[in-house]
Amino acid sequence: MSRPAQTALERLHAGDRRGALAALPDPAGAEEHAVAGMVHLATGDWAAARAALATALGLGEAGPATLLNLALAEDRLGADGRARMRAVAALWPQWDEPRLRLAESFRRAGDESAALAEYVRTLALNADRAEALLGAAVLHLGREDAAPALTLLLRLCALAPDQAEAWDALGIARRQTGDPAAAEAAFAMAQRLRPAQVSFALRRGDAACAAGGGERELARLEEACARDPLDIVQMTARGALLHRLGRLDAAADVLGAAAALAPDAPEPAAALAACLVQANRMSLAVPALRRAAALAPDDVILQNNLAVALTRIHSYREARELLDGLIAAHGARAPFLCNLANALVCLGLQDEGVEVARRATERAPGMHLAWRTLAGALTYAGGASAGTLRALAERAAATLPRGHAAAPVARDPERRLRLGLLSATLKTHPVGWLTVAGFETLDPRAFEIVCLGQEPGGDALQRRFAAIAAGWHVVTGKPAEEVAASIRDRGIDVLIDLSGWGDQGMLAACAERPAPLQVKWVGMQAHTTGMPEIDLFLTDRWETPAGFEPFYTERLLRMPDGYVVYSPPPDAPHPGPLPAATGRGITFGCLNNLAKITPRVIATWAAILRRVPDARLLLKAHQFSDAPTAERIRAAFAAHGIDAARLELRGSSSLRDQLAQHRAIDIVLDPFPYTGGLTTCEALWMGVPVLALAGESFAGRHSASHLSNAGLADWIAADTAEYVERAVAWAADRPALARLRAGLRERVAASPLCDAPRFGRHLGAALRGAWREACARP
Amino acid sequence: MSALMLNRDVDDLLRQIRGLVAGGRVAAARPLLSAVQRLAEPSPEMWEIEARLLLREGRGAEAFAVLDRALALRPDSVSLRLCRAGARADAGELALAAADAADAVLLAPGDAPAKALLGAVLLELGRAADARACLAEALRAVPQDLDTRLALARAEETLGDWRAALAVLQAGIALAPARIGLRTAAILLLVKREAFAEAVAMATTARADGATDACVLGLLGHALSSLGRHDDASGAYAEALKLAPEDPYVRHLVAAAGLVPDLGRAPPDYVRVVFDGYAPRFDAHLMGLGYRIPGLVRAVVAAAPAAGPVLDLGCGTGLMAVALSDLPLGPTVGVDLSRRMLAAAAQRGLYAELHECDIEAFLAAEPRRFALLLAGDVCPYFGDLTPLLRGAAARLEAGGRFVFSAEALADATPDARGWQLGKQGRYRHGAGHILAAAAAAGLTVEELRPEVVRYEGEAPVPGLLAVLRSAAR
Repeated sequence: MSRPAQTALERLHAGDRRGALAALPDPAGAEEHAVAGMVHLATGDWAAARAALATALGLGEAGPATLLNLALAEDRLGADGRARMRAVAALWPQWDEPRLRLAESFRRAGDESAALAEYVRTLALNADRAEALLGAAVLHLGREDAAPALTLLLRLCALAPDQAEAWDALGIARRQTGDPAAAEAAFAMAQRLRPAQVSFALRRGDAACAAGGGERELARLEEACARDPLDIVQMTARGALLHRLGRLDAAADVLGAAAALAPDAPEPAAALAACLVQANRMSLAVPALRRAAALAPDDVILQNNLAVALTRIHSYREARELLDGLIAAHGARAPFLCNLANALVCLGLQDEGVEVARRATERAPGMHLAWRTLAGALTYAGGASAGTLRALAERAAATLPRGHAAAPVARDPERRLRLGLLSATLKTHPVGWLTVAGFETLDPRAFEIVCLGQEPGGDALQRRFAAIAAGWHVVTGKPAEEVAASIRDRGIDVLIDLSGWGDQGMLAACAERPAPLQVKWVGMQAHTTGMPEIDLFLTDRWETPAGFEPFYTERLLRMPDGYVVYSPPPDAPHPGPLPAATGRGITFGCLNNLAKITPRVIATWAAILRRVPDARLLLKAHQFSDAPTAERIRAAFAAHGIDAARLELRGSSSLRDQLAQHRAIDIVLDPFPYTGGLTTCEALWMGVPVLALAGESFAGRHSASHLSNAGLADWIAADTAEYVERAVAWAADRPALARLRAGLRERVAASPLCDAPRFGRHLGAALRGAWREACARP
Repeated sequence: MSALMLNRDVDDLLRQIRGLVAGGRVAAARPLLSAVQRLAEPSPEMWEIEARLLLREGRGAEAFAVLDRALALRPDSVSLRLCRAGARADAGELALAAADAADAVLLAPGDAPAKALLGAVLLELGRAADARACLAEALRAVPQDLDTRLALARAEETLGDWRAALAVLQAGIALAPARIGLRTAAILLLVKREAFAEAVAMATTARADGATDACVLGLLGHALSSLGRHDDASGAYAEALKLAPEDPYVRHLVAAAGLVPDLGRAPPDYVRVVFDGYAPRFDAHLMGLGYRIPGLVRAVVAAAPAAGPVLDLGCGTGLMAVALSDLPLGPTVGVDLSRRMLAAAAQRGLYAELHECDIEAFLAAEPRRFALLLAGDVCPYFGDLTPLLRGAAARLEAGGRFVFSAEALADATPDARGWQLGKQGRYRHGAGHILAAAAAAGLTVEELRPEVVRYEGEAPVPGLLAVLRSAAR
């Protein structure tokens, strides 16, 4: 080799790329061109590399390295570099390098099977080739095929014990093979080799926890943080571990400090955001996620998480835009489609949501999220029969993994029963308002209550649950099998699921059959769960009249009155007089989520407004805080001939304000087919009657149940024509409306809807009866 | 990922830490402050933040050391002065706190928080007139400050002008109708003045406005109950419990209304809260109710030969000791849960010892024996009297006597247990229960007779006076 070429190569190996180029003469010979090509490859200047290497080849330099380098440059430029790689491999069949390069090319292109095959060929030529060992192992791990990965990685760690990635991958493999203690040791090794790598430290904490050594690892991290308060890696690991251990407040504090100390690092921001999301502190979580996502723009999971968080704070339009972008850039992955479908439904674009959800089920038919997203979208959109909804729920249920633990057996029909309330929403939430008074009034001699829910503390409703509970166990954010074990360990007799197929739902834990008797009640109780492991569905004769049994996989447990008991907020303001009594036109209103307001609902409401020319319509939903969304809804009404001046669209407010807004409404128009639940109860409590349309699904009959229970069955219409006629007729009878309003709160308070002791007796009797039957089963 | 880049902007970090400390986020502030202390030389600002953090962490002594050192270096720093003034006030060093606050006001005459703090400390020191002047000035500058307004109302009340106090609170309510704290303070003021009808009206308005919490509803219940509207009161208590489900005081009141299962005795916190709140006006209140127990007990004790020592269970402000003060009795030991009550009792100078303790706990832990045990108006805070009587029996000398009063359960009341929780949160007992409990405790019943123990409005409250004797050994 020429002297300048040799100098250039030495400089290149020393990392001095510019010096390497400077060492080469101009004009250069074949060898010098070949070396220049290598330097350009090292700097990532593929075009310059190809030019230099092609020139070298033209000048007669056709050695294996030059040919292979040219192939690499071509591959990176999108040309068919792989053909040349194969040619090189054929010319020098004992050389492992072209095989390795082929594997890497396939991997970059996303063809993992081809990549794996080439890694295997590489290893056949050179069993000690570290890159191939690691590459093949990582591909196996990506397929959750840990056993072959483990063999490769053990070899790699012996061959290259200084390679941090090798130990990290070994840890991941050990985790997948169910050996968390060995995984922890491997991650510890990786961390020792590269202490600045946050991901190693995070995985180490997770493995320690899984191995039962969470507290020990926490003590170690605390000591490390005290020793060096500027060690952000350890601080981040400590915060993440606190999160893993369920101490969310402490975790958020530590991670907040780490993020403040390293504001430009994505890891502390992402860990902080994850913790805040789990703690449901969304107003802080979203900015943290935004920051993390901006710092790591290529992290699609982070971007997707941001979109999910945005939907949770009701920023559906922004979530939709983000997901559209993700799908355009990274393909239509099923989770993106599901999240997009939810965002679309919440924007009132239910039919589009259904279509997107359908695509998700086609792409990922084994994913329960896809099926439940489709079922959810159809429940809002309408157009699907109750039988279809059941079939979709069964598809979702069928995809859940089921363990092999034996189901506990019901025994001793008369003893005191331990009820487990399973939900992340035992708080100010429809679940709280519609169930807590029923549990409070259960006979404590006959039933003991155990809450399996979110972090303790919280709002007054959550504290009401806590006040009657013999125990409170945090299960949110834990894997389904851990939740199931927790239920089984606590000897729960009757498990009451209060979150269904919702985002924080825990039906996957119910699939493990942790309790002898499992019941579905409020909490995303939109329709059947489709789960064979859910024995009973708490309902009433209005929600599920006789003959509705085929729409449900569960046995229907009909309460004598309504299926819920409403606990009116003690700080609700006074209803006030009928707004129309001042002489102005009737104000119709609806305070339901925009997801329930379909094009057909808009058309029906527009028909009413055309028939009652001096009437206005007041709509309130989170979504109307977003001006373009509000504008779109105004346009939809305009298309039916309703002037925007007759609409008042109000955005988000506090609960107290939400209740107070009923003071401006004469008649609530309930949406359909997904009717109001808690919203209907609140309207009645605020003295406003609700005109409802009864459908076929469970969600389609919520209002019918609440109205019947409160003695207002004459406010339920059977079809849209009747709905319109009744609205028009009531609007014309102001004296009757005023009389109704004046006494409605007292009437509702005295009705079974709010009669907690009565409900508690009925609930106790229903659960006892079901338990006795379970005990009698062979 | 490459090594993480440190934020070396110390001012930015200190600003963040200050916010965290103010928000009580101690666990977030501490690691940041430790980091800043590695990054930068110490400064008075850092010391002040450190002191505030130490105070939040409950490490008062260390906080004072830091503040003293910082003020020695920066004697003109208003924020350091205020920080130490607040810390001293919290530690009960009121005179020193006033000195720091006054220095701060001199250093920054226009500083409203300094004036507000000085006013609050002066009020605690009993200088209500000076406090009123300071607080009024501070409030003019920052009319929306809740604490200053509440303190000014308290100053007016202390000076005897409760209408002025009410006006201060009402002005605040007009300014910020959603501030429930102001409503609560105003209703409490009316309850304390026994203006129950006005209190009910104000609480009802708060409810209609939706400015309600457990306190408002609890006070509404109290006022309704005092007006004899027990059913309405029960409803208010039940609503209060929904907003404060873990509050033992509210739970007890709701149990009294029969809405949830009761606990068998009033929770110690309830007794403490009720009587701490009542202490200053307790005597007058009870006398106003026609409280007759000390006189009844005196008659029993005076009829027998002199005895001592005496244990006064639930001594309150010491009314029993007053009634017995001219009798030749041994040294008297008083026990009560309420610190304020005990402070009032101590002022009478009639007790040899006073103990702030739960009665049952005291009886269980006390090694001495007494010739005479008294419990005036104590039984209404206990359901089942058996544990109380057992505890008392263990502390009686051989042949010693236990004299106590109870409120009577009408014989017609069907309750198998022989006792029942009444609507005002007071337990009533049947004679049969007392006889059974005495027998269980090994005490002989010397006397058990019906007596009117007090009057509620114009209505006599039927009671029982019991004299039990320990067997002579």
